[in-house]
Amino acid sequence: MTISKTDGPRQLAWLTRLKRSVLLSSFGASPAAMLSAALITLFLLNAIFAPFLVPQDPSDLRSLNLTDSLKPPAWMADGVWGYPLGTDGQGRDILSAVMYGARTSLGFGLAALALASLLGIPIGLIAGYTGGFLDSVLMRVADTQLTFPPILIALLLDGIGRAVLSRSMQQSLQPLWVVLAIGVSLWPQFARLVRASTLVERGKDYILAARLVGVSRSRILALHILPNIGSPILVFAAINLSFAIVAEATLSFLGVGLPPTEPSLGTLIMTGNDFLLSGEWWMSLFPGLALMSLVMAINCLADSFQDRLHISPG
Amino acid sequence: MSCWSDMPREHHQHEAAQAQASGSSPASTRLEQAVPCVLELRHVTHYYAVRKSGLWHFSSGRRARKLRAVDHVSFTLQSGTTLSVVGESGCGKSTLARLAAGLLSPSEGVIRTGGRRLSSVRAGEINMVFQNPYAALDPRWRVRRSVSEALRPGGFLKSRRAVHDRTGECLSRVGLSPADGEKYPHQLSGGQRQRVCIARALASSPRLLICDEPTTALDVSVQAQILNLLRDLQRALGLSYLFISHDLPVVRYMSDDLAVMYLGRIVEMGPAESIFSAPRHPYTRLLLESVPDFTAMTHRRIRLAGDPPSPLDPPPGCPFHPRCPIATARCRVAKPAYTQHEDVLVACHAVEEGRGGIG
Repeated sequence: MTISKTDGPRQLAWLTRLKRSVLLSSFGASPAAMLSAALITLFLLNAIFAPFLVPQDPSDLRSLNLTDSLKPPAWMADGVWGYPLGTDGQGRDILSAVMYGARTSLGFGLAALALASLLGIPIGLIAGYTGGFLDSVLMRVADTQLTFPPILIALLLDGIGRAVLSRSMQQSLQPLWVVLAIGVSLWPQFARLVRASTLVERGKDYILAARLVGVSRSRILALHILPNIGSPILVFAAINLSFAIVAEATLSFLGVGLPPTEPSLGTLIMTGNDFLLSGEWWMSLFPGLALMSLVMAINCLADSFQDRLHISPG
Repeated sequence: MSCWSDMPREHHQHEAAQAQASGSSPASTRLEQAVPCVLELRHVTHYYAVRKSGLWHFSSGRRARKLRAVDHVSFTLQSGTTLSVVGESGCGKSTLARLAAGLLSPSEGVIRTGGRRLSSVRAGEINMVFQNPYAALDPRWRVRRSVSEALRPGGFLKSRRAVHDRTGECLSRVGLSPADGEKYPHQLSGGQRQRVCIARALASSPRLLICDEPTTALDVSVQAQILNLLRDLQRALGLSYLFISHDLPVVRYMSDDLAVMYLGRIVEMGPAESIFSAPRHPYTRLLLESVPDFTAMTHRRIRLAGDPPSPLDPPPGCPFHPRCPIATARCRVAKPAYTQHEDVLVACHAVEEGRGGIG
């Protein structure tokens, strides 16, 4: 038997596995999940291609026309079809701002999630597999961490940043604080889930069989345990993506998140908030709707994955 | 049965014998070197600490209770033979298997293989076949990868081709085709999975295979196939088996020697046929009585009543006395020592006193 002969069925088997995979099969399960998947695809495409799609570059001050400021949406009396969702106080197109904002929100949510999993997954694996004293110490650290909400951490970092760093450095580091604050406040959740799954997996006989022939601890964790606890981690990550996005929006709304120079949906809602009472409702409504539909789509899809996998969140 | 002959009677006797062996009796030392036992356990004891774990409990040692899962077990397993360990669930058989495999280290006592300490043994020299073949294979790995897992860390097969060939050879040996290696565990039947587990165990070229109830999870029709496969492999490769089971007919079919365990202690040990034809310890007798025998339905049985006591709180004296039909006052106080009867060692006051019959 040659290697090339096995290549064919190997690829086929890979495809069959993908087709039969639990996560994909849940798309067909409910119309809500299908709609959510479509929405998320839309947001992802927007995130990739926004610079080519937007009617106006909101960060390019030359393209702004102050005479077009505070235009209502196109279907209203004063509306112009050049600005379908209206403009803000500087004549910035709201649709373009929302498209960029959604991109920024998704990006920062994913970055915070990546940081949380980068911290939480290894810590959970080590705690669960090693057990004993190290496990106790790591989990008490995680419990302590859980008592600090992201807003508190963000305010802390912001305060320290303002005290220690120069104003321009603090400004440029602001996005990093946001990722740090959300990522650090999320890792204990990951660590707890991974630890619990690892505890179940490590006692199984195939782990013992690997230990018997001298497979190292890191190989067992990376090649046996991590792939076998992958599905619940993925679902959990999906659920927490929406949390991360909302947390970022909250921080931006409160003014300790992303600066107005790099607006996320949260920042847009905050700036629009000032105009809300004077009747210019469109400036915060449309970013709000975008945020809501993104978060709901993620939650709905994650829920249907979760139902399929029969797992409960941390 | 030279290996039985220096079985421990009592602690001090054993130590004396050891001193003698190392000092003034070169004959016995030479004998041991000539025929190194594949597995030798000397007064192996294993405790599980039963306590609340956690950061606030680690220092409170007085809270810890010890569960003595294996209690002063000594035996030797000769090369190319099968020693079976039987007993009810919870008697410490599986702990014994894991101790012998080196997955646990004994709290007290010594385990040697081929005269060496267990810790200095090459990885995979002792390998294991597990009870549940469903849990013993990584569900996300192709069977071939699981079988060849042992071949990479050891590094004695350098080329991929050699690993590939060796894996195919192992699969063929257990009656599977090398093409089966491309399958995932869920594509195989229970019997096929157990064959894969045996192939994986063979891949590391073990001298000793520890079979922890290898047929318990299988259909009866498949059990016989697996047992015959194990026997054929033993003959062909000169393997030694430590066979853990509670299935007495299976044990009778497989074993050269037999050890009966009760509450972590070996109560009777010797050549399997001697024990099966003339059991001496009351527990062994009751255990053999409890095997369903359709040819003797009318025969009045003596039933083994009740559950074994908790190993957390073992009874004083002979651990079997609460359930023993012929226990006396002495059994409730003193732990019985091993006495030799023909080629069988028995730990029982009644047998020692010559009143073995069960009323």
